[in-house]
Amino acid sequence: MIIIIKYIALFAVFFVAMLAQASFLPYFNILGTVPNIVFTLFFVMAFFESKKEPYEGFVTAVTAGFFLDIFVPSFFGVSIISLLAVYYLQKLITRVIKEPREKYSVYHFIPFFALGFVAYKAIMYGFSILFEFPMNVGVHAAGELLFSIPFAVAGFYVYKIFFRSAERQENQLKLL
Amino acid sequence: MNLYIKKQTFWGQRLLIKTVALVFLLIALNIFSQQLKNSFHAVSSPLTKVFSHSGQNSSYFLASFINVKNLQQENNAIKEENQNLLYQLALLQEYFSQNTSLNAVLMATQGDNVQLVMADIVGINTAEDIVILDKGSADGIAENMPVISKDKVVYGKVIKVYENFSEILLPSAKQSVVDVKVQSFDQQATPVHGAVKGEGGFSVYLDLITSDSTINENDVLVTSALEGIFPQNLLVGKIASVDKNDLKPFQSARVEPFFNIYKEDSLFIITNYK
Repeated sequence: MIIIIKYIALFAVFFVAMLAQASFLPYFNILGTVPNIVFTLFFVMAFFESKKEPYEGFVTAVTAGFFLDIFVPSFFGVSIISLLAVYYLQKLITRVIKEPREKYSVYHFIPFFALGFVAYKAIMYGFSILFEFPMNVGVHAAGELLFSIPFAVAGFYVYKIFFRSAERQENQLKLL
Repeated sequence: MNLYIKKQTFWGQRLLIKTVALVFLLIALNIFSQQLKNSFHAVSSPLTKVFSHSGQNSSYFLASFINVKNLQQENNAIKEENQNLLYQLALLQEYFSQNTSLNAVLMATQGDNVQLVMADIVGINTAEDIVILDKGSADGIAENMPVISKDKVVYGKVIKVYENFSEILLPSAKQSVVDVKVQSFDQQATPVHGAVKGEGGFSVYLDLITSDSTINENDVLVTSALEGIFPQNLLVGKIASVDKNDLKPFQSARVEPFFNIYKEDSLFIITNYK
């Protein structure tokens, strides 16, 4: 039951984020670029996914991809597949590094985020060639990344301070 | 060893479940994609308008915070007035260059007989230079219909239509090509034709101008109607700088587009042009 509520909340959060990205943030653009809030939110959530819940990262990628796909003039699934690829890439790298993610500093997180964003854009660009839909890459994508980083850093600290400390407390209580 | 095999099996099972779930989900999403996208926009459009207005107000507030609000409003008003005048000039030029009867036909096609459907902007996709409007097939909108502003500025064409919403490809989108001509005041001069192509990020450039043609900075570009999507003499942009290379068969130019999606709340779709 808690998991269902959690996923409904996740859906609602991404819904609001997508609306903000499509209708609120464009008015604060810098040289035509707007931060990709949905991707940023997805990446932070996937980065700090709970080890106890094996489907959390997967569901996060599918939900975020679903909302991004609504605004892509192509088939449903291009963003979902791209985000899933980023999710598994990020998981693979963190597994190789073997450092608990809670211990990561923001200096570790930013390159991870940038790599994830570049991978996402590269896969989407591949799809844009395959399915012939317009897609801005190059300077525009770089601007989008730079604009998204402050939001990602804010999300990183919020997630690290509030959510994971709450989880840690829960684990300590269980040990007691 | 047993524990390792068990762990591997669990991992394999999870992967299988996720893959099967994803395949079914993607099939279902694509079967109902039209309805899903339409429903999403229908549900979200009231909220989008609230977000959009608060975004606009906040950005104005921010602008006023640094004392540029008045300048911005004044600038917008001048730009609007300028665009109106440019459009009138484009029409006047046509009156001079063609005979009276042809002018009457032209007026009939470009004037009152043009059917317009007004639509509100409910979403902006900056990554793909696409705008979502709140009118769709239920309002008589079809693919490839031209979209303009109240100042007769080209805002692109309809690329996808849902029941109550449509997606507009801006002239700056990478796949967009608009046939244009350089507005000239010399009656005897040969018209200079070219194509305004999108390069993403709300930027456009002028291409396919023959090397023997003369184009200058601040030349105004209007639609030529050669591609059959846009009516003639709609405003597209102004040449910012010319890039002439003798080695290339065509010359190109950087163009300052007249469209500004942040300025407009509503656009007009021409439903009877062809």
